[in-house]
Amino acid sequence: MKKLESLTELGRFSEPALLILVSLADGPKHGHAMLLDIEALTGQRLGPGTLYGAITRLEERAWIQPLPAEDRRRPYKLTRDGHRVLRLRLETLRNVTRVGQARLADA
Amino acid sequence: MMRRLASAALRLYPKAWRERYWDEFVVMLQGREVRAADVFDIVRVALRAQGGNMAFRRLLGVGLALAVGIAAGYLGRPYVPTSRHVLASDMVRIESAGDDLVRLTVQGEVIEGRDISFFMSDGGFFVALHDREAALDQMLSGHK
Repeated sequence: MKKLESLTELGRFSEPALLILVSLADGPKHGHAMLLDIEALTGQRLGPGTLYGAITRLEERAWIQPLPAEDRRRPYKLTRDGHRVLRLRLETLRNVTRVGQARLADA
Repeated sequence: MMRRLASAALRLYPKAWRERYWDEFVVMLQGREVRAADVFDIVRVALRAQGGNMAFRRLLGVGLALAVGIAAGYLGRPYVPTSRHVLASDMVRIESAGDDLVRLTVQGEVIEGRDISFFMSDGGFFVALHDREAALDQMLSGHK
């Protein structure tokens, strides 16, 4: 069985990949919808090259899966592995956030 | 303009990538305002995607050498003042010179061009002419 890898293996490319996984967590989306969703979520404009660079890496790892094109727009959905990887990463971030906030409160 | 540049930049991606993603990428760009930062982003990611391609690296090397050569040739042309630092105490006069041309006189030195920008700077401001070619023509015709 294929070993489930972590998002951190993507190094500095892990943040756009994480944002895409979060964007797809509530259902399939095509590229433009992902950009709008990520912009609403973070307040930052993700570049189209960065978006598709991350989509390429996520698809290579089978964490997302392309669906049949609709009107030349191709939606993507999270795979089961993608769900697991996202859950794992969010858990780590939750721990970091909790510890960081506790330390800030003590300071 | 930016949309056209973005589409052109897509050609920098490896063939296999273009065959897989070209259509949906172009459709995505059509639904969005394309900015200069987007073009830069596309080029940056395309170059990274081409990282291991030796033929592309060689082509890029030749392109860069040409660009440097052209830039060096351009910079080697006679100096034309297109910008000027202005002190708060300097005498400055700004007037229209007709045909959208703006004439700026700073302590007797005349700078002309279209689309002049001002930037705050230590002890005054900085004036920059965007229309370098117009300034060059102006200078050359004035010295004939």
